[in-house]
Amino acid sequence: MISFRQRYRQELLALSFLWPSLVILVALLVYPLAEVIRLSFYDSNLMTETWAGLANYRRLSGDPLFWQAFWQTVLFTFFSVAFHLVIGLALALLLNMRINSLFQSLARGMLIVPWLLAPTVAGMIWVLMLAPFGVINGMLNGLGLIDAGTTISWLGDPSTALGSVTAMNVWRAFPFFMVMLLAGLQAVPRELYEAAEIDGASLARQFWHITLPQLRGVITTIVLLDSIWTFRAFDPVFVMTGGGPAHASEVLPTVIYFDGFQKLDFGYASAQAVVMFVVLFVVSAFYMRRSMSTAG
Amino acid sequence: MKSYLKSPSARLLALTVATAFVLPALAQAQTEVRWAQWKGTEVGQEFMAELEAAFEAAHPDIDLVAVDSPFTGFHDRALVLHQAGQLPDVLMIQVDWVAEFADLGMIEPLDERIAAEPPEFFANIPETFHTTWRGKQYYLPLESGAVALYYNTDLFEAAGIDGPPATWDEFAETARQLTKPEEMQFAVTGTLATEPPTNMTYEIYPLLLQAGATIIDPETNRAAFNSPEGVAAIEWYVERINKDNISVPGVLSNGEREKRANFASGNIGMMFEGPWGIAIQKQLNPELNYKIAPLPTGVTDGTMVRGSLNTITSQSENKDAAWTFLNWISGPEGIEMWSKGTGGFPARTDVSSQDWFKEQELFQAFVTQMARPNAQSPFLVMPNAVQMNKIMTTEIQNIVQGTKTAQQGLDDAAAQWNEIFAAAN
Repeated sequence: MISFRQRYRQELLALSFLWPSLVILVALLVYPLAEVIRLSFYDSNLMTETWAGLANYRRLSGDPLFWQAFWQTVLFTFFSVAFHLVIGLALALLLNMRINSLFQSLARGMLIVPWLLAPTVAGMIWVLMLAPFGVINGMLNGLGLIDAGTTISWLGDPSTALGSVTAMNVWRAFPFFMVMLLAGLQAVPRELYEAAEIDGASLARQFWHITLPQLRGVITTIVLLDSIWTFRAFDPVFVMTGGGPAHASEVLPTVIYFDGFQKLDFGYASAQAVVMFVVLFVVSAFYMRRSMSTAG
Repeated sequence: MKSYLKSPSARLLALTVATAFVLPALAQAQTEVRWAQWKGTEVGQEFMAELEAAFEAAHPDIDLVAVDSPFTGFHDRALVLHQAGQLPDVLMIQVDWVAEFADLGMIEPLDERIAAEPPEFFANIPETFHTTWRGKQYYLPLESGAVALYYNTDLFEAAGIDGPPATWDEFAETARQLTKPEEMQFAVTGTLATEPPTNMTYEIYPLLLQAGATIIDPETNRAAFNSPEGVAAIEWYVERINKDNISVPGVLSNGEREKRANFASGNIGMMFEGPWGIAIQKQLNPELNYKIAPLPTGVTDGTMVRGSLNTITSQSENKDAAWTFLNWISGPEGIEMWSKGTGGFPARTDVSSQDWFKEQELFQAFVTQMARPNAQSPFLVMPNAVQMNKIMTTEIQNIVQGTKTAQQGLDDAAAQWNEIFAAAN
C-alpha cells in the first residue's frame, strides 16, 4: 500500500511552490470579495452591523439614481470602447502601411503619449481644455463652428458632461488599442494578401476577409479588457465632474464611492458593488468562452 | 592597572553598549503624541518643525510627531485608520466631520478637560466654536474664518464704483456694472461644482441667512431653509446668474479652484472667500490689487464660519499628553505662533485683538464679519455634513438649470436632510 505522501507526491510538490501566490490571491482577492458580498446583506455604517437580508438589493432595484448611474456607465463604456476600437484600428492600419520607417516610429512614439498619462492627470488637462474660455471653445470659435462670444460649458452642462468625460477617456486609451492591433497586423502573413491580390480581391474585401478574421483574437481580448477597465473607471469622472451636474455624469464607481465613504452606507454600497461585479463577471465569462472556443 | 578601555575598539564597543541601553531609556521618558493633519504641505515643513520645537521646549516630557498627509482623501483615510485601530492621538478635522466622527466613536468629548482650565481659556474661543454635538464639545479650533467679500480695486475704479456693495441691491447693481463679457470680465465666479460640496459655504448658505431664513431649526432639529425667505434668496441668486449673467460661464462646473484662479487673473470683480484666500491669492498673483469687505446685507447679516479643528481620538493611548498639546496649540501662545507663522486667521479673540494682528489690514473685514449677527457654522450640527452639502448642491444645480423651481428644489433638499436627521436620532 502506498502512503498518502507517495500517492500525491506531484500535487504536494506543486502546492509547496504555489502556496505563496495562493495566500496572496486569497488575501487580496478572495477575502475582500467575500467580505463585500457578506456586507451587502447587512446594514452597516462602520459602527453597527445588522442583518438586512435582501433589503439592500430591494432598495437598489427601486433606486432611480442607481439605475441612472448604471445606464450612464453602460453608455460611457460602450462609446469609449467603440471609439477606442475604431480610432485604434484606423491608426494601426495607417501605421502598418509601407511608409517611411522613421516617420512610422516617430508617429508611433507620439501617439502613445496619452496612454502614458495617469487618468487623473489626463482628466485635469481636459478640465482646463474644456473650460468655458479654454482651448476647445477657442478652436470651435476660430473654425466658426460656434458664434464668437458664445461659450459652451462642456462640463457644467448636463447634456454634454458625460460626453466630455467619454471624449477624454477615448483620447487617453486609444493608443493601447493602436499598439495591440498594430502588433496583431504585423503578425498577419503577407502571403494571404498576395494570394488575395492574385485572385483580384479589392482592398475592402481583403480587410473584411483577411485582416479582421486574423485580428479577431486580439480584438476580443482588448475589447474585453477595455470594457472591464472602463466599466469600473472611477478617476476620470471623479476628477472631471464629480458625477455632476445634478448626477448627469454619475457612474457606478462614483455612486458606490459616495454611498460608502460619504454616506457611510457600506451595506448598500456593497450591494451596488456586487451588482457591478456580476455584470463584469458575466461579460468576462462570455468573452472568455468565445476567445477560448476560437483558440481551440 | 591596565585598563581594557584604552584600546580604541574596546572603547567603541563600550560606547555602543552604553548608548544601546541609555537611548531607549531616554525615549521612554518622553510620551509620544502623534498629530495627524494636512497642514504640513500647506505651511511648509520648516514651520512645522519650529512649532514642534516650541511645544517640546515648553513640554520636554512630550515628543510631538506631526504626521502630515494631503487634504485630498484625508477624511477617508481617517475612517480607514479608525477601522484598523490605528488612529493617532490628535486628529485634525474640518467642521463638516465633527458629528460624523463623534457618532462613529472616533473622537472624545473634551468637556471635562475644558472645565478644569481657567475660564478665559475657553471664553476667548469664538462663540461659533462653542457649538456642541449632542450636548458635548468634541474639538478645539486651530484656525477659523468667516466668508467675506474680496473685491478687485482696479476694476472697481475703472468702472467708477466708489466702494464695495453694502446691500443686496447695491451688489446687484455693482455686479451688472462690472460684467463685460465682450472683454471677458465678469462680476463673480459662480461656484456650484458637484465636488467638493463645500462650495455651498460661499454663496448659498450665507444668502439664505441674509434673507432671514434659518438653515436648521434649533428647536425641532430639522431643515428650515425651504421657507419663503429661503426661496426668495435662491430666486434672487438665480436671477443674478441666469438673467444678469454676472458669473463666468460654467457655474455648474466651477469650484473653489476656478474661483480663486479667476479672481487672481484680474478680470473678476468680486469673490466670496474666507481668510485662507489671502495666502492663496498671494501665491497665485502677488501683484493683484484687492481689498476685503464684509458681505452685503439682505434683510439681515449672515456668513458661514469654517475652521480647522483638533480632536483627541478615542483610540489614543496618551490622552493626557494629547490634551496637553491641544491645550497649548489652541491656547494664546499656540494660536499666536500658528497665525504669525502661517497667515491663518487666529481662532482666539485674545489673539485677534492683539496689536500685531490689527495692523494686518486685509484681515479686518473678517473680524467685523465674525462679530456681526448670524456668523454661523451649521456644519457642526449636521449629522453628515458632507452628504447634506452634496444634496443641497445637487438641488441648487437643478434650480439653476430650471429643471425645478426654487421652492421645489429647496423642498426636496429639506426632505432629504430631514431623513438624515431622523436617521441620526
